[in-house]
Amino acid sequence: MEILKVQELSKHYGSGENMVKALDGVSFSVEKGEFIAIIGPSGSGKSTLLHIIGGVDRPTSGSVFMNGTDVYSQNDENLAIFRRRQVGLIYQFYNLIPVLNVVENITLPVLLDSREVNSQRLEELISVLGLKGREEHLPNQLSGGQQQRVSIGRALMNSPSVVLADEPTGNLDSKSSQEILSLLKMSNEKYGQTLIIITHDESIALQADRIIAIEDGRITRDEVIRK
Amino acid sequence: MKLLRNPEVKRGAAVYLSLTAVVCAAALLLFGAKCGAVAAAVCVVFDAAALSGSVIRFRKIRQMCSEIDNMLHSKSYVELSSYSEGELSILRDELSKVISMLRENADSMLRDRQYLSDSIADISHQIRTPLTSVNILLSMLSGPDVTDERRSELIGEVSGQLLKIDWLINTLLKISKLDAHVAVFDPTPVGLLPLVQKAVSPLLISLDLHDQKLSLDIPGDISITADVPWTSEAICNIIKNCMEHTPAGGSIRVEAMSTPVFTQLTVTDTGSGISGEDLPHLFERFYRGKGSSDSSVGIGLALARMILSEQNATVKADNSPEGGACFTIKFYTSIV
Repeated sequence: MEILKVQELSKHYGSGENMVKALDGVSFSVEKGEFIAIIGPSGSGKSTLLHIIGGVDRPTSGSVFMNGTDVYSQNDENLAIFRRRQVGLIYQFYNLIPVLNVVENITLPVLLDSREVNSQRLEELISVLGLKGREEHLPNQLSGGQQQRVSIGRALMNSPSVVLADEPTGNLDSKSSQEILSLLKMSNEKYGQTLIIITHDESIALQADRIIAIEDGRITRDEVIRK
Repeated sequence: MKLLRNPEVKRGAAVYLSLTAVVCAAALLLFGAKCGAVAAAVCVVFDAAALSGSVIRFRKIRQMCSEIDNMLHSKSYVELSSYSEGELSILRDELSKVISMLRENADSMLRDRQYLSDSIADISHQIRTPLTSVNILLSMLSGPDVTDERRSELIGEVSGQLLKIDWLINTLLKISKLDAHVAVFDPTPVGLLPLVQKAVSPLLISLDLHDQKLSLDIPGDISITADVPWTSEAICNIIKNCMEHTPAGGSIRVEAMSTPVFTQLTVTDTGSGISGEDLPHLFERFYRGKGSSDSSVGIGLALARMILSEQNATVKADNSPEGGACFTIKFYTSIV
């Protein structure tokens, strides 16, 4: 089942001679439950692509269909709601809210929607992420790996259509990187969570089902490495 | 009115009406007829406003019901998710998640069933071929004038075919175990060199017969964590495949190297290489390349890949610059 379709996506910055084409006619589609790695040198447009898929940044032209809905046909207010319900974002530098504790950070997307937190789901996530006993801790009381696990929890809490991760292990040592990657893989296998991750690390990219390579805003390779 | 069959609307309307009646009566009795009329008019307007809110909400719910009904009775899929504030929008969104999960489950069940029936068809076809040969050989054997020499020749052929069926069933059983994830893997640290030596031992006689040279260039200090019998079977199948596509007098080279992330084993032969048409399908079950022999069934490489991917290893096929086939196996160090 096709969950995401990106069509002729372009994003240009500046104009005239100074125009930079961060993305230049990118098209691909993603099936539900796929685990995709996007690789490419810095400045190739990876993060721009991820932000546009996630509804954070509007494209210059082209469209993104998530679950059959044209994401950018909506106004900014509805786009924010779309992000909250359909997209889970994980950043290199975690972006947790410093004054909220672990549980509050994880349940933020649900609270923003003024909904009841499903306590069973929360408990399951906390134990899977190995954060038991740290529920009341603030982000600055946690290690980098633990903070990233909290942000994974926040991304998964709403069972979004896709989880987008931008260099999720870029700031971590190799042991924590392995932990984070195995958690992401587990969410992909156990919950059928669709996963798109940006990485520089070949060993991480090779564990995905499919690798998309981007250079100068264009897809240069799109290869399924395992089914 | 259809709206009034909803108990909560009925209750609300009753409350409104009784409040209206009380207010109007009070205004009439306390302040006279004029005031009573004004109060009645104001109350009617407010009641209507309150009612219209309910009407709109119930209309939306009814529309959603008919959309879901459509989905239930036809194969078509209506996008339900909506991105606005409010409980109704959240309800739509949650429903849409449930529906997409159900659809995905239904799809995957259909795929599994198709896969199973394809596999059974393939397997029965593969077993029927040697069985037919055995039947023909037996009818030849039971003929009236068979010389002793011819008889022993035919018996030899029958036992050859039976051995083939035996191998086929054993391999298919292994594949089905891997398919169902019931195969038991016991990962233990093992030197790569002894592992490869164990893997090639059943092939040594055949290598000799075909005058093929096997060279192992594996540093003694490389070790991996893997299940020994399964992994050696996988490596054996890959090297066997190289042997089958290498002419007599050719050579097969096995090399290894190790990095902090993975240990890599490459098997290169001096055969004719793999055609571009076959490359993407090489590891598919029952896929037989153009150059494969009549006795090949196309499950050796499929089994090898299943065993390796079960152990967090990958295998890729390519052609070496010299023209022969080149298989690269990577065992990842991290257990992810």
